[in-house]
Amino acid sequence: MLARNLVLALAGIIGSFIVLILLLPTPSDTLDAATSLVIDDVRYFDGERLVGPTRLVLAGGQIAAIGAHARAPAGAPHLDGEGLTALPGLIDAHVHTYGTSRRDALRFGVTTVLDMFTDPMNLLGARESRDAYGAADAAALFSAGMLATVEGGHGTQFPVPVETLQDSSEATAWVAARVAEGSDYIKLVYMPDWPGRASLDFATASAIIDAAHAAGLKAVAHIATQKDARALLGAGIDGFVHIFADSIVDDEFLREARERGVFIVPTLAIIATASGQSTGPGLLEHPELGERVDALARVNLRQTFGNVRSPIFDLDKALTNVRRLHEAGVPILAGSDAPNPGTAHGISVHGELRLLVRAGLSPAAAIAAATHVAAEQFGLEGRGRIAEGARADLLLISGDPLVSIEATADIRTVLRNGFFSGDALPPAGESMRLAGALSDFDTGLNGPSGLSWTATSDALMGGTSKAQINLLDGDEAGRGGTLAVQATVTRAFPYPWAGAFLAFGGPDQSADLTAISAVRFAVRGTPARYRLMMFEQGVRTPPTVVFTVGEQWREVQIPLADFAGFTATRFIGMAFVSPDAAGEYTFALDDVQLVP
Amino acid sequence: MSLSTRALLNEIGAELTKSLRAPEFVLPTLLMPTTFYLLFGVMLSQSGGAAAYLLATYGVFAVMGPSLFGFGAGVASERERGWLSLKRTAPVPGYLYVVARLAATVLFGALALLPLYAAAGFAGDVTLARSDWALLLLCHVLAVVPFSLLGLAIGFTFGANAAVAIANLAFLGLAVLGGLWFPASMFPDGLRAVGQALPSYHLAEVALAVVRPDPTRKVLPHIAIIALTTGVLGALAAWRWSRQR
Repeated sequence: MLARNLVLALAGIIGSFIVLILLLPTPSDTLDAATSLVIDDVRYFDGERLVGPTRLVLAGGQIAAIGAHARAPAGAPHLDGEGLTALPGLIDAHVHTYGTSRRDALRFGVTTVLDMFTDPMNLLGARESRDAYGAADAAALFSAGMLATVEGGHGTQFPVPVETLQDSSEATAWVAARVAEGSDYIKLVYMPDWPGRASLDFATASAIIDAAHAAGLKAVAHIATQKDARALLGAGIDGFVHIFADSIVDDEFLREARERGVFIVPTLAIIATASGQSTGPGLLEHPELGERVDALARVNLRQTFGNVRSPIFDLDKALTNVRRLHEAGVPILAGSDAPNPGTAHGISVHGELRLLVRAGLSPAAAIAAATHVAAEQFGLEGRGRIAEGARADLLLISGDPLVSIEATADIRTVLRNGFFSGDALPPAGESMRLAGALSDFDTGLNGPSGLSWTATSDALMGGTSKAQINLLDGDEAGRGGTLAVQATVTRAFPYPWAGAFLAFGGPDQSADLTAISAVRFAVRGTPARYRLMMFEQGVRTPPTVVFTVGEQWREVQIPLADFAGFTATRFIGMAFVSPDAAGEYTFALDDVQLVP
Repeated sequence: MSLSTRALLNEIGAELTKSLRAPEFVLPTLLMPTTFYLLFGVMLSQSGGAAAYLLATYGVFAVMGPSLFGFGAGVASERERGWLSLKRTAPVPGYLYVVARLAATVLFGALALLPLYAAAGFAGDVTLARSDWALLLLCHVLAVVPFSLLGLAIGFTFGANAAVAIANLAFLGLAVLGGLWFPASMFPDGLRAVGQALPSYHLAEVALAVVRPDPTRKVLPHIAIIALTTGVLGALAAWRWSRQR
């Protein structure tokens, strides 16, 4: 009797629980259709393999539910995913951001970029925008900000002021300054054997690593040789943002790297370019990628380092090293090092995936390198995985990338926080021509070329001159928008300057102007003799030409031949600056063009 | 149905009937966790997160009562009244007595969890995926095992009056120091270190991992510690049981 009652009681309790669990609220009950998207019958990459077809319910910027029977909020739009594969939004673990680079990245399915050196000004607002869950038209940014190097060391050749270090005693304060600027990790340059360039010494590099760890940040390094990397392993480095390509990685390095848990971002694409085997032009041939790429990126992808070959950039050794490190269990992350020669933002991650497979990673491991492995190594919560609760950053492609890694390029759509990002992007294609209008200021500060205007002054170098730029959208003298510059020149610096700078790309990015004959622009302002400076990669004193400005608008055309010593092959930007004479100046620019 | 299965079921049934006939045990055990939860997790809660957080920790608390008192104090008084000696002469294996009590406690714990889950879902607006609701329930129900073994060890070791007092001490200590009422992080370092040695703390951490998934939080170490503690308590209970003869 008791036994029967007990069975009944047991059934009652279990039944109550089943009913209760079916009635209890789940997150999908509270989804808002306005921020939701349902993708039906889609296969997705779970970190190791493709699963599905199933349903992905995206809501409020997150993946709310996965499963063929996942409940969808009423009224939410549905996307037919039949024949499509969803990959987590790609993470490019080595870029240099500038101008429109984060928008370019997103166009190719790169939803998060890990920047390895940029002007710290670019970090303003980056945290807020990457944490938000609304519609976004650019990839999320994590960054090292300023890089650690010495006066004249690698990183100082670019037109970004660099706060260099002299010795190890400065490490703690230097790292504290990066923390204050919003750096997410610390990047240092260590290549003591690099000919012709100074480098941090070992003691300073070690002190920076220790200071980064004390501040709770990871430290990553730019190295050139196995010897450099070996030294930093012992100093506690967390990761290398290039693979050394001077020698085959030895067993002891493999063992120590694995034991210490370091990761590697090989940046094979840039090593390929350096060894004369650039993969950039090949990417342009892909119909989908080629259609999404703009003119400036096209230039970059075709760019090379010329015929200079260095024995320390051997692509075959780099590929072998990546394979050996991967087989030894060292985490490999995909990074493009865009916008260096042969690379461009976004598109080059697809090229890097192919190189990783060529090195010997399985397609699944290569995609992992561009998704969850990167997220895990850099502690990026909610990114790099397709899972309930993860951020709804997705790349939808056709084809099976585990059969052919090239399928990652067959992009159908890109979702950032669950919103279609493509709609917010400017039309792809020939949106910028190197010959033609650079800036007419009619559609904003940086239209139509997307190049970046900033104020510049000798305050960068410790002077006290000041400059401020503004976009004037009034229709003055039929000109539409113009760029107004207010400059105050003081003589506190030996070669004072103040004015506006037009950057042609990131710190590592340059353009070839050999097909250009002149620069033309319209100008008016405080009457005086002003200067136009042309900056080239690796050139510290820019060639300069003087032009006169009056009260009335006038067209100025300056032949490139007038800039003494300008080679036009590594052009990185130009500066329009006021006279050396102390005083206050205002001038306005319009219709800046490159004349073929 | 084999003889020993029927004996086991009868034994469990008897345990439940006995417990249900003692309202002074039933009512507080079944209702106190839910009442506390409604008060602190729902009505007095300042932040939305408390309802989910306290569901995880109060779930552990809810099964602790029946486990410690049903087993602890209960076994001691039955032993003193000679019931255990009588059992030993009965034609069923002795371990059935323990297995039956454990099963009855699991059922009783589950009964205490029912109103708590209902309060969390319907009054506290806690939302979890279906699979997570089920996983959380499994985690809470299994928490009965280590606490019951502790109760058993107490019951076999102390006299009836002392056992009640000691079970009470264990009950309060495990609940408060284990962070079941307030987060353990609110305690000073010394107390926190004590708390982190208790199985209640680790059970709560596992339950919290279900409620608030966080990839940086490792669950396996907690499960390992719980398994180890359960093994030690099991050995202790077995040893005290063997000393009854």
